[in-house]
Amino acid sequence: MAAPNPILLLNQVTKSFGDTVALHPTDLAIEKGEFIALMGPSGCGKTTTLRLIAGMDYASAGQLLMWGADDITATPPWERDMPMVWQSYALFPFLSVRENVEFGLRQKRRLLSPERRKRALEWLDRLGIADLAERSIHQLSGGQRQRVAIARALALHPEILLLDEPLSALDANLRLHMQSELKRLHSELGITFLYVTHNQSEAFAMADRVVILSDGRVQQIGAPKEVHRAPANRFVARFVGANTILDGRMTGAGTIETPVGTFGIARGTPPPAHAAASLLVPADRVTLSTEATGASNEVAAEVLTEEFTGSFVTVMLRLADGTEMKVQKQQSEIDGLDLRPGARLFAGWPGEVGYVLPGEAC
Amino acid sequence: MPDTITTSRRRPQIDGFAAFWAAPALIWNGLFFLAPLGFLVGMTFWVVRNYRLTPDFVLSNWERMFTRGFFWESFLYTVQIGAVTAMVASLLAFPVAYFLAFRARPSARRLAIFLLITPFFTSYLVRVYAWMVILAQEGVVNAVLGGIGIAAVSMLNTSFATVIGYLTLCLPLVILIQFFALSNVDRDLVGASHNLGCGPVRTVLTVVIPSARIGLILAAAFAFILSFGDYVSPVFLGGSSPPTMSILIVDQTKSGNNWPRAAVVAVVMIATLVTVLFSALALAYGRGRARA
Repeated sequence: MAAPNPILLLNQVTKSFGDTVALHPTDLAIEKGEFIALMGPSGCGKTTTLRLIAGMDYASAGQLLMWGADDITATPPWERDMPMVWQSYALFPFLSVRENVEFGLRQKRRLLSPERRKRALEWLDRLGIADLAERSIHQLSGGQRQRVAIARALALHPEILLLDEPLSALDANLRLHMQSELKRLHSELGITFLYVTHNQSEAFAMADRVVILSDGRVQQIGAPKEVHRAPANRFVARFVGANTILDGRMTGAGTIETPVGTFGIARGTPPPAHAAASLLVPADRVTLSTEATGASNEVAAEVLTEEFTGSFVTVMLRLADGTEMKVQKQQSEIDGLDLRPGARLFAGWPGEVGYVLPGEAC
Repeated sequence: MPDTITTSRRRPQIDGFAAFWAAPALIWNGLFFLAPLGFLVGMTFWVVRNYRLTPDFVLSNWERMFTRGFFWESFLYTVQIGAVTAMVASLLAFPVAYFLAFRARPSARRLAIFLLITPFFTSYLVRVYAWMVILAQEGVVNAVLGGIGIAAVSMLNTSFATVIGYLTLCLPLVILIQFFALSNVDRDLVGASHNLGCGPVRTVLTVVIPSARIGLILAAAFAFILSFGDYVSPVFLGGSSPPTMSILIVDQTKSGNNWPRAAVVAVVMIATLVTVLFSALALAYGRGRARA
């Protein structure tokens, strides 16, 4: 299925600044045409990784290989072929929109003026801003600048496009719109997108695979659904966010005993008997009821807060031992329930969703 | 309601607070700059009778100066040597300013800024005297050249020495202005330039210089302005020959007490500087963008 050699391979790539390790030895194979999102909280190493790939910093150890053979570890950025879309857009204010798009065509592709102009206008047209070609950068809105930055990078017809938090400066509506536009461009062009973000919904909405980083280490690499349903560890489970973590201990019978009850495990690799473990309950699979149903995966809870986010309602519950449980439902599913703070009800989940994480000291 | 707010905001109002604080500077400039300037212009139409300055309204001073070859020679020489100084100072300063802004560690940068200000601690005249010692026929440079068997070179009383003096005056300032201009260049633009295929040298030419254009032009304008009006360097290092405009002013007042003709020279100098400064500002700010 995949090409024999990945378009870009990170082999034990490491970056340290003095005594501080920004990126611990990291392996990552990026296949041609993939949309990969690097994500994590600030300082997790995602931007460092992108800078190493773009050549703005050089790896302290390890190798960057293109197509499995071409070692670009020490290649200066201007000789790499990976245009980038910057968070700040980094458009040249002393050039017009068209000249910005022509910049790389002139400096990197060495195209002559008529050819440059033609291609720049094509890409501006493709991004829907052909009418702005002769404007100065100062005259553009944030969303328009974003499009110019994307056109400038894609006009080079690269095999890999780097994007560094490109949507973080846009307002929510525009961000959603650009998300689908980027996704569309990716599938039309068939090139590799490497996308850095701290925004989980952005990454999950667009990427084929996400790489979750924390403290300069890769925590998990996988398809969004995989990371969402089967987080590799506690950090990922928390980062992904739509879960409740119930800490406890394995029993002899393969169930997990927590302060709020003993529950069955359907997924994940259970730790040995009597070892610490945690049960993960996905927020969207919890059902709420006013009466106990007597099901085995059920706990008594008290409503803390109720929050509307579009068509979704997020309800925070407090369980008997103080653990907070997150529940996400469609408005229609909970219409009849009393969800005022302090209301008491029961939260249950189907046995097949219980996922076990190895326990960690906390 | 919103309409009244916008209109009241847009209406130009005299801000009492700002006027209060601006007043001393405005009064000072009015009394000691604008008034004397008017007087200077007026004096160009006066005459000197029996070595005495007499109010009048004649054009003979202007006529006399503008029809003399020595005046235009001096004018061209002063503009030329000022332009050369501005260019040489800008070229010499740029690598230093670039290094300080982009490469130096913060501690080295602070030290360098401090060192660039220290020349202003000592009088410019003293520094020019030092250059006389260095450049004289029996001076330091020729002693060294003689030591390795090279015949003495006449350096004092040349345009070269004058430019050296001008550079002493303006180079530290040009480096500082360029440094602040380069410090404000967005690092992401440099990164984007590298990312789009420009090596370090081409990045300087296509991105760094256009980005810092305003500061670089102002620095060169400062070098021109300082050297165009300078009197010390052309007298002590240049040997008054050919005379600069500043020397011409002194000549006119000393020989024959001809204040009106000196005023003509001074007014031409001020007009030149105003023209140069406005052109520089137009070049720096006027065109919203330059071609790369």
